[in-house]
Amino acid sequence: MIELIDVTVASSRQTDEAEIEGVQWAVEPGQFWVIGGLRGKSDFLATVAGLQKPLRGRVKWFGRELAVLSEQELVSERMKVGMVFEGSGRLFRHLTVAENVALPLRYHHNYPEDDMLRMVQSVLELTELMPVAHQTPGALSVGMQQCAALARALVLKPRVLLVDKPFISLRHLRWWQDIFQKVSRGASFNQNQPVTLVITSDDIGPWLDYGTHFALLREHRWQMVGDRNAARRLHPTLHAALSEAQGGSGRI
Amino acid sequence: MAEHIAQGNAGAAPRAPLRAPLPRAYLNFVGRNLLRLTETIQGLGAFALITMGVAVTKLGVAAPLIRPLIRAQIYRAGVRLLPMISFLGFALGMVIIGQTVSLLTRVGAQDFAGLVMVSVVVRELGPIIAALLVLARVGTATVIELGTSRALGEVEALEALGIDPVHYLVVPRVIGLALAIFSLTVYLILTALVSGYLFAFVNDVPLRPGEYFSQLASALQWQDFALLALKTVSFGAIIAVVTCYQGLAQPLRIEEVSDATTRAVVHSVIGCVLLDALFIVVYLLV
Repeated sequence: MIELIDVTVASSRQTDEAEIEGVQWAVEPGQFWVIGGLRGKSDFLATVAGLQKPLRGRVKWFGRELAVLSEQELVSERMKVGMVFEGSGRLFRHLTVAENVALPLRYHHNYPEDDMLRMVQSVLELTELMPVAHQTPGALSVGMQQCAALARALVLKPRVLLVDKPFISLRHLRWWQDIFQKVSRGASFNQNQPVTLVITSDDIGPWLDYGTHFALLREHRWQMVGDRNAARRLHPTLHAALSEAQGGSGRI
Repeated sequence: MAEHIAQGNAGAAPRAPLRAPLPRAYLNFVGRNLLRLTETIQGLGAFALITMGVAVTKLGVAAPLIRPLIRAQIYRAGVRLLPMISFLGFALGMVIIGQTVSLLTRVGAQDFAGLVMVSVVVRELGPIIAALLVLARVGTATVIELGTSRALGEVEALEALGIDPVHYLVVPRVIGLALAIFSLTVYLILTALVSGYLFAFVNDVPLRPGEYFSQLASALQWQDFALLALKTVSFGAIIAVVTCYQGLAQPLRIEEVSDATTRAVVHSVIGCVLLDALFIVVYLLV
């Protein structure tokens, strides 16, 4: 579905600098990828989502190379790849949660108002956001805003969902784990079509029971870990490295 | 430490004679600003062309979403500014027009009242005042809105959803501002002309309403209407393109939004005045 061939990811701060080198990666339908690492995750996902050009290499979606697609082809492919940004999820602040979710539908499809409302409602019910549907993002906590951003990405019924650092507080961890399980199995909002998932996280620990494939971004390199068992074997050393890094930043 | 500083000073002194850095610094200053100016003009031109391209190619795309946005911009830049523009028109009529009429009458040149009115209000003051008012009230807000959106990454979020940011954010503003400035100018001119006559009337100027308006009518040519429309619509397009460009077209950090707003106001004013100058040439020719 998504393929990265010998890709060098550019840094968003210094666009001519390499953030991650040597990415060889192919995502197959039904997989749940968890990508760990402390640096370069957002740039990596932005490159996968076609928002940032790679310094080198090729990015393919559904077998077609992004760089050669026309603008219209790119838009129709984009609707199959959902993206949830890190932190507050970059909702549009002047719209309510429901309007945020409805915006991509309104732009791309000319559905009758009733159908559209039904679709928005089904996604909001899935993500348990109905109680805050008519509030603006500013009234929600940052974690809730990212949940709403997930709803906005799901409403176009993507086949692949990219989520950058889901849950920033433990309070929302359970919510994300539940929602990923539902979405990867298939839920009623998209007629039970399973969605392929790619998420990034500082620590792959919380996702060991959920992800099917694991990879790491370490010291500017792409490192494939493998399946759940491989990730479990590797995790203790990773965890030690992570807490050391966090301790280091704590001291600073 | 102190030694090091002293050494540093001693070392720096012979390398920097008093006169040498001045011209170079000035040259640098002028050169940098010229380069920046060319860059801005180039960027603005490209952005205007892209906007035009998008407006034409995506004319009917997502119309149920885009049309209400255009309406909202017209409401915001046009309808909501009506009280303000009426007030300005009234003041303009009282202060300038009324004075002119009564002065002209004193020297017995009442016949020229209509002509003066048309060249001052219809051709020059009306459009530029409406444009500056819209720039101050709506243009600045536009830069801040779009600049903040850009800085918070909402523009990338639009792209990720397959929504063209130029189509969704810029095109409605260009159309809305162009139409708003045109209609506001018409209201401003009407209020100014009527209130100007009121002032003259109150001051016992011997000028009948019929005379006054027939003078106006004879001073107006058909070109005035066409050029007025063209001029005001261009003002709107300039203000919208410049403010959207400053807010949207380049990567922006949140702390740079205020600078971008200042730049947008300066560039819009310069752009409008330059266009105004161009129109003076056109008026002289026709």
